[in-house]
Amino acid sequence: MSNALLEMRSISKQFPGVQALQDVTIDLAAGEVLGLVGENGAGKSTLIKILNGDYSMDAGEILIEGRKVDFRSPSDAAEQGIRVLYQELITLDTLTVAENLLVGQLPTRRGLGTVDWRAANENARTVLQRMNIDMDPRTIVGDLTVHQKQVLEIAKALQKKATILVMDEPTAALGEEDTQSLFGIIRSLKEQGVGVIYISHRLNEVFEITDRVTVLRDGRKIGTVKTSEAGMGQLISMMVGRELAEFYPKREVPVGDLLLEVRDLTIQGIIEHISFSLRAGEIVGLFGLLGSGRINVLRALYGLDGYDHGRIIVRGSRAVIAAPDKALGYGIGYMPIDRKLEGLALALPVSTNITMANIDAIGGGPVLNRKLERQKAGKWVQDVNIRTPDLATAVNSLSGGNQQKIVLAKLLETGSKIFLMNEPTRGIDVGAKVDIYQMMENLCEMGAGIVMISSELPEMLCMADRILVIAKGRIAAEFSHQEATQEKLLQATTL
Amino acid sequence: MEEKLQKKRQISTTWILFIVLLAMVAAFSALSKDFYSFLNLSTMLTNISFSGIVAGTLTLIMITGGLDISIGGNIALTTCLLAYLFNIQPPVPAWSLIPIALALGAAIGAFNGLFITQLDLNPIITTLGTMAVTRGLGYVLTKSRSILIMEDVTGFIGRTLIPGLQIPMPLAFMVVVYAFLYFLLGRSKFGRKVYCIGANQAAARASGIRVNRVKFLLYLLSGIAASFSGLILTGQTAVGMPQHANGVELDVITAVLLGGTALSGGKGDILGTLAGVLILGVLYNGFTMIGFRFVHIRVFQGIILILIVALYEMREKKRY
Amino acid sequence: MSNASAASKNNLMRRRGIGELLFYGKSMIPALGLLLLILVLFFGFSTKNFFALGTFKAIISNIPVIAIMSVGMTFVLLIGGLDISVGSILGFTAVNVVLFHDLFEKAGVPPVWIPWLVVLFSLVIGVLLGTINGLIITRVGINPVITTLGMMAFARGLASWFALGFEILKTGKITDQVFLNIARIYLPSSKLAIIPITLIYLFILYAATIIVLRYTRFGRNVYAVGSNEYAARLAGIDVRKTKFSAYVISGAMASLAGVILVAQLSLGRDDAGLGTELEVITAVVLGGVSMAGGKGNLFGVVIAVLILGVIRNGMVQFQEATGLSYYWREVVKGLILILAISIDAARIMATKRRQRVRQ
Repeated sequence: MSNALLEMRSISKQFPGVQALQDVTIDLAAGEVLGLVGENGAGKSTLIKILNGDYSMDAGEILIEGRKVDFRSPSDAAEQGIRVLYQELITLDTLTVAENLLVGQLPTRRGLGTVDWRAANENARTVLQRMNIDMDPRTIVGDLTVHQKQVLEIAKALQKKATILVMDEPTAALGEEDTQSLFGIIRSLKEQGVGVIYISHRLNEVFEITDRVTVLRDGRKIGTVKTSEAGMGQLISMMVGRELAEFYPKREVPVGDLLLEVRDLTIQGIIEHISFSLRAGEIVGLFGLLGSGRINVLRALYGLDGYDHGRIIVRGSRAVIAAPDKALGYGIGYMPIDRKLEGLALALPVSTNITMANIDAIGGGPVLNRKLERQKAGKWVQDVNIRTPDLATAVNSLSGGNQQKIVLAKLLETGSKIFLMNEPTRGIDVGAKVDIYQMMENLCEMGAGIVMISSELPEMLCMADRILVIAKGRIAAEFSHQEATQEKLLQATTL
Repeated sequence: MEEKLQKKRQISTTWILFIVLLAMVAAFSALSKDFYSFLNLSTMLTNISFSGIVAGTLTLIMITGGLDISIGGNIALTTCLLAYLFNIQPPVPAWSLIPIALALGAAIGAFNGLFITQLDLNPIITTLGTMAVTRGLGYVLTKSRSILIMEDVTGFIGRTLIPGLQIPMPLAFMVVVYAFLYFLLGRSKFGRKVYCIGANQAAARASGIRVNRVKFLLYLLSGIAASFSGLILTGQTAVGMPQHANGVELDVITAVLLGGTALSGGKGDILGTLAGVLILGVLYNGFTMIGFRFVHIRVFQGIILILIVALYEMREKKRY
Repeated sequence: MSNASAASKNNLMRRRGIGELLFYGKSMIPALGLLLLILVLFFGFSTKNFFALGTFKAIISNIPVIAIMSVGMTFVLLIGGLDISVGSILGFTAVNVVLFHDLFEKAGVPPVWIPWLVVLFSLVIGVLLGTINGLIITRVGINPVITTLGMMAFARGLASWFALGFEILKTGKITDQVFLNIARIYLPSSKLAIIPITLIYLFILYAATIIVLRYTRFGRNVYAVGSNEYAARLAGIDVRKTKFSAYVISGAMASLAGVILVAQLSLGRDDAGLGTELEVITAVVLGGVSMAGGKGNLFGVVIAVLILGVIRNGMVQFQEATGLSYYWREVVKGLILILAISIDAARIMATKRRQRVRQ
């Protein structure tokens, strides 16, 4: 295929214990927008990291305009015209648009060698105009909206003569208007012959902007379809595969009293009028795409972030939750999405981490009763099946699954009745997952209630009694355990 | 298993420090006949106690990643305030000197704590400002002069020797303070919270630890400890003057860093700081006995500080 | 695309209250100007002689030292660092100025050349000490606070050491008029003495620095590194070299200030510059240079330096008028520093709040 701008042939990549990519082939033509879709863990980010030079591949080859290329680092990839735009924008916020575009290569006047600001601004204006953007190059980047910063990153990529642009979930933080604006830019990129790989979970957007779509699942390429000829249902079934049999048998737990009532929870510009309830023995799932606001809901309920309006009612009485310790006081516990960042003190021992959220209960009075602490930690290590040489081992030497179990144990030690879990089985092996599911069920049987965020559809369908789909800051739909299917959930996110 | 190994390495650092200390004492005793005299040792230990107490509280602050360089100004102001109040007409009753000093320390500590925790200000610059304010107030009170304060309460604290054992009272206080801090940091719930904050502040917060409150209390404690040291100094010198404790911040920070506390927080223990305080105290005193002057020591202090940090830094890097 | 322009227009046209304009706006200058005005009026009406030429002259002669060091500190804060050794570098330089002067005089160097040589050698000292700071911070990787704290002790100790060792430093006096004139000449002539030459120095220095910061690649690199070190590195900027340079400049400025101070006072003692770190940091942060790095310029610093000068002189006069102790000056300095960083922190918090994201 001599007119393919980019070809990735038979790419395979293995990580310890998991085959991330198996014999994946994709191709991209100049001036084309190729959608890349698939569930979390399908292999999209691994593929892109290989393209970007961040990872090396075990097998396969990459060709650009027919030439074989070999990347050792992101700068190699950049030299070949590849530019990946991630969620985290890398901008110099205190400087102007022009300066961000030209950082490191500001034009200078001949002779004096001083920066020629007029030329810089002109230069910037030209680049922006080529993309049909009306932005004053003298604006301070810190004042721009997220979308505008994105546009800036794209302009920067063009400035550096990128020919292949990869956009990873670009609309996650954007509103409708900005999304359309982005699409306009993508269309002008097409006209300039730039090839775009568009990664997104938002299927209706994929349908709108892409020419073709490649679907990945479990590290393999399932197929590539022309967008105009494909249907939403077809795409979803390709992503999702056959209807998954329940791999974890869920027990029937009787539902009890009202534990938590959330009414009209609002954070200006982020989430609006979120209302739901949680009963004892129930697992309520919050499903949403990146940028839907589901994490904001949980963090607000735990007091990690503030909220602007709304009522939170715990077991019948109004709760004012300004900080995590208040939440714990109401019997609400939280399992963060990133255990290394917010869940564990990696350098400290297992027992310290397990008791961290309930220090005041380690004995009466001001003294810390170490014997009691060991007892408590020991109990949880057993109950939650944590594999560790001993209680004094530093947490950072344990596996991811065991680390996550320690976070769970910490939560259990608080004696909370309401558990807010943000991706409880993220990044852990199957065995540990099952252990955690088991604990969750035990909790429900003992009368606790769980609000769970998960982006793994099988897990969500399996564990949740009710699933609330959150999109663009609002609750878009609600499904019971029986009626929910992967297709329905994904469809609901597009509403 | 690894944690035990890690703990061993940390304990061995403290042991190494104490061995170094003994070696230094031996060396200086050999080099100068005046070093190993009762008078010198007693004076040396008194001096050490004065800055040692604040080194202890500073250790806790540094474990959480903060810093307090206002301690010198605090100490100076305490001596000035006490001397001033003692010399007005009518003078304040002697028994009230202690509560006044402690109240002053608490006020300064609370001021620091409030600004640093509520406004999330840089602790270094904030306490730099407080340092200027407190020392400046000392100058205002005394009009840059020294005011004599010769009385029994401060004298008891700063000048007495415990009969029989012949231990200077300041040393006894330091021992008590260190014992208290040792248990506070190592065995109390509060100390556990301090360590958790130091290890991962975000995780501590997400675990329901009231981070701002703990930090505030640490600065409060530091303020009180500093003014207590001010009490000691007042007793020792019988004088209140704004030039007191000039440069004590450097001594104290060096001692804490020498003891193994990292500037970035997370690690640190009281015994290490004690070793650091003793080593530096012996070093300065020893050098003085040999014939070096204060200014020479100042020069070396700067170099030592950087060397210590560089050494610890390189040790950390070796592990990976 | 009209959508983008509409969006950007909407954002910039958000209405801003007075509070926001003064404190959260792009520039601190309106607020600073207002503060300066208020202070001048306050001191003017509460003391007898404030609105006099003598006051003006006194203030102008007080500010050069802080003003010069503020230039160096601006560079350091812009890259996101800190240098608390500047006062000690000044002190060490002051001592060396006297020593060098004495040396050159005794060596028979013609008096016309002596000032130049002294300035040169002093600069070398400042650059040397700044280089040591820079190397330790960028190569060994030690925290700037600890490094400059150590340097502070080292330089001050060394200054005192010299002071003990050399006879001439007992008084540290310089009587050579030729040398002293580098800070004492007035222009245009001795009859029409209005503008002190130090003002000219400041003007040149500030003008040059403003040009460097705004119009040279190095200057823009300084801003980039302070704004987002990672992004700057990605763009190919030599972050290490940029940071290193900032500390060298800081040291050089401190030593220059030392020369001027000695010439002004005709005195070079080892306690010169004690406590000036505080004033310099106050001036720079008050002037709008953010401690977070990458933000701020010298225009605000000029006004801040003036504000501090007005306060300094104003308080002296205030004392004469009301009997309030002159020593309140230190207290006021400390309070202003805390005020300045509080404002800076408030601005940073406001920025963070605006950037909340849906997850």
